[in-house]
Amino acid sequence: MAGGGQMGLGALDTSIVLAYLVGILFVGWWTSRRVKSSTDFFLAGRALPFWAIGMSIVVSDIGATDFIAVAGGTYAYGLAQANFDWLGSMPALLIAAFVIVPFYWRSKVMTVPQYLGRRYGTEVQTFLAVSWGLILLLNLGIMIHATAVLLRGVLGWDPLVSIWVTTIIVGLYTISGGLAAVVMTDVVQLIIMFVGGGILLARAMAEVGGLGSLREQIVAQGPAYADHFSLYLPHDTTTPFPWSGIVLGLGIVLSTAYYTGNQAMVQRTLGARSEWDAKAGVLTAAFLKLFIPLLVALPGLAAIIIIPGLENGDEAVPNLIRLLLPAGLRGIMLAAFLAALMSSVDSNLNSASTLWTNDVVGKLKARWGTPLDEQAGLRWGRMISAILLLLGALVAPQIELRFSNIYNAIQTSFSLIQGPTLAILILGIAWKRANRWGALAGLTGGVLFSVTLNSSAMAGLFSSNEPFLFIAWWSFVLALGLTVAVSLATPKGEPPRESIGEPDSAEETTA
Amino acid sequence: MTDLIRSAIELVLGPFDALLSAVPLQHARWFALALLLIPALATLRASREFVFRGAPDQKPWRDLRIWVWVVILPYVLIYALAP
Repeated sequence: MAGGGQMGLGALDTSIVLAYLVGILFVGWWTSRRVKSSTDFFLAGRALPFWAIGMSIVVSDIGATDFIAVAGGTYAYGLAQANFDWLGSMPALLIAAFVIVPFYWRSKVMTVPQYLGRRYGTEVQTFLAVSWGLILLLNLGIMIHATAVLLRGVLGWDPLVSIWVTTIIVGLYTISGGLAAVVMTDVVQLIIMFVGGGILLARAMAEVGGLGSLREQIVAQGPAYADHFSLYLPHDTTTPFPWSGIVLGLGIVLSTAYYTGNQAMVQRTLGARSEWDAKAGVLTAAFLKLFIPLLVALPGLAAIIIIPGLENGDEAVPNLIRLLLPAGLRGIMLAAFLAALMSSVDSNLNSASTLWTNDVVGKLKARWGTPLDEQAGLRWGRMISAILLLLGALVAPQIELRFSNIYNAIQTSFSLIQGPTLAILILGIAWKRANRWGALAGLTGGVLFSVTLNSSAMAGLFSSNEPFLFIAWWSFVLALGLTVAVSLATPKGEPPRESIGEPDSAEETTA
Repeated sequence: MTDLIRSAIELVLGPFDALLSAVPLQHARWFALALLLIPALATLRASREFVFRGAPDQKPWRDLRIWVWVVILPYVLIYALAP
């Protein structure tokens, strides 16, 4: 099946891809032998070392669509796109490592909604669990769909074949091995991604004569390319990346919400073997993120010189592969794409399953007087993983028909919920006076404000064509204010200290 | 009703937008560097007990305050030197 195709794969390339797939299944099978309980399944038995956590966070964040879309964005807008991996990661990961993750780890929760439920009550937990559960499920469908599109583009595979091949391979190791299998396969996948991306970068840089030469050639293209090497774009730019939006919306709100409130990112740290490993794992991720723009954005800049005049920047990377990589290296690059795709699919699946099992089924079963024990949790977790994966595979072909609508809906959902979630999370940790009424008001008010700002009636309110960074910032500010105001206006309510992972003394945390 | 809501939002967001528009682009660098350095400096206030909590030993390489500065230095250089 993979022997020919549009990318011109030879026998060596096919062997490399097959070896990768067999290797991943072996690692998944090897890890799954130790899964005996729900804690093993959802939290890898709380035995993950820091290096695996760090590598898994990065590779779960970067999908093959990022390889293509970030390079495409850089082709169109320039290096400002790299802010998403640099300024949009480092400060947030520092806050995660030193402020938020220690609270999560000490409270021994399995999910972020569970933590916020202990802090604010069942209503907040249910709202967030259902919202994130649905978002992760739809995201799963989008990622499986993206796999099909990519394999159709580079290999000429039928999309339905790609969808079911991906579903079966990811399903085999994720359903049997849980988080441990996901993280350990992520480690292998990150290495392959870095090798593949590194090869493409090296070939592209050699082609354009190095970074200095690339800059000179791009600037010489004319005024439209004057800002292509700038990280800072004016506040009134029509691109999605004004410096003010990057600092306020991305650097303060979206990235912090993503790395501290997104179950798919947080779950690895909850499975750490110690609090030190959890914190060190997040810092390892911060270090590795430094290299992502080099691997995915710089090839996009080089493509401006190598393949000028592309109508769609997303075509840059597939064209670079076709033009620059010889047989053998194309196989490694395809394996890198598959690694990026599968690592994001497995992480979303495992996290969505954790949310539905723990925060929805677990709560309902407890209410009916039959709470989930470790064995029942494992059975439910595997069953729900299988159901979600099946649903994702069934949703994926529909995305082909309505891709832009559904994709935009997902991106919008993310931007609607992240600012308000971050606001109540920060206040929940930093301010004891915050209570459930304040959190409910902040969450619903913040989401409603995001919806309002996203509506067509507010078009032109911001100079940017895609003002999601400013919408995230203002919904965060409003949610923060509402939570404080309503908490102060309603009776104080405090959960037990031990349930929310507070440190033994205030001296232990940063100021 | 929609116009009223839009006017109210513009009334609140407008001055802030004007303020950001008045900031020269070359000052954006200082905001980016502040965003990187403020949390990094705050980690220096973390106690030794907090930093090593859960670590198997207290060897210097396990001090996460050192990790922070090793990791953040390349980011600071990029944002200080980038055009």
